[in-house]
Amino acid sequence: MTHRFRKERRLKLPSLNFFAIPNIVLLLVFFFVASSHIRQGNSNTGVYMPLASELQHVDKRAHVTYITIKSNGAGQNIIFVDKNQVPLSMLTNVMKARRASLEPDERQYLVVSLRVDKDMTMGVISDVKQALRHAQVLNICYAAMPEQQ
Amino acid sequence: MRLKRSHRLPGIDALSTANIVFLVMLFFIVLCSTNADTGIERRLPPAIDADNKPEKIAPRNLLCVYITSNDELYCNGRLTAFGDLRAFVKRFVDNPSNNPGLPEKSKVALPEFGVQYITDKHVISVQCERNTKYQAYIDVQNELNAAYNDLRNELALRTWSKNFDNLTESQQLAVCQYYPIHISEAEPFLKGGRQ
Repeated sequence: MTHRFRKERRLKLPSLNFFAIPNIVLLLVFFFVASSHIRQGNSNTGVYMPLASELQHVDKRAHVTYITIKSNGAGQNIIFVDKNQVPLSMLTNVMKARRASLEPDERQYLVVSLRVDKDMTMGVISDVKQALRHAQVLNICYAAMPEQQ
Repeated sequence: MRLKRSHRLPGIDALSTANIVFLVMLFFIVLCSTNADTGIERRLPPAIDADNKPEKIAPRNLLCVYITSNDELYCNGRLTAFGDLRAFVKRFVDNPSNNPGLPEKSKVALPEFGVQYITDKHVISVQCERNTKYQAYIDVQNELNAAYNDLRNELALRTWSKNFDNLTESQQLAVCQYYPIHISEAEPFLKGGRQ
């Protein structure tokens, strides 16, 4: 009997072991790093992309190059390859150089994402597409935003 | 005895590492986005030169969708309402009644399905004017995608009573081969869209 009473006196809340928390949060970090990709290009360029409902995701293996086309406010169209402004006449050469910089077996994964303002007209887009054809960069993706329903 | 006790190393306060790692995590969440680039994927044809001539397409296999600068839509030269485009494209791609005015069907051995008659020679060509609005062009491309997705979904429901998204990978591949997407990006301003 005495033995049992002594035990009850020693009863105390154990303190929480906080040492596991950094490990758990590190796991979360790895989860986020694995499941997401680093934002490239410039998302705040004032380009309002068109809306669409049947969207496809660009392949994870793809080497994505962003071509942004927008108006400069004075009625002229400006073209950016990633973040560099490129005149239309140079576009084929720039894209040829980009294609040549990849390993030969990686070239099929070169994808151009066309981020075009929805108020642009098709003329300049066709010119860009012709330039891409001459550079043998054939996979394109018309970037679009999901439609709100 | 007392000296010996003071030799014990003091424990490192590991609680602050939790805060530090939380900061690292927030940094990554801000920097990264889980939704990858979305859009409508297309493949351009190679540039036309001496040794790369475009193929001749039989008139019955070609659907020419022409968008004017006023956002009017012409399918093979006939004025079409935007709402009718999807049904028109579905009938063109599927050709359920083997109509001689619609794309010809050829005998193809497919995985999962076996030998089937499919319209693997059809081509949909989207053409427009220089002043056509990009949003109108994307609307049409979106509607074409929707037509193919509808057909694939209907086939999946018919065959396995499941939605296309719920099929196994090999089944999805087979369905995609049953209704292959042939949308031409060539010759954007070809005449003949409006006859």
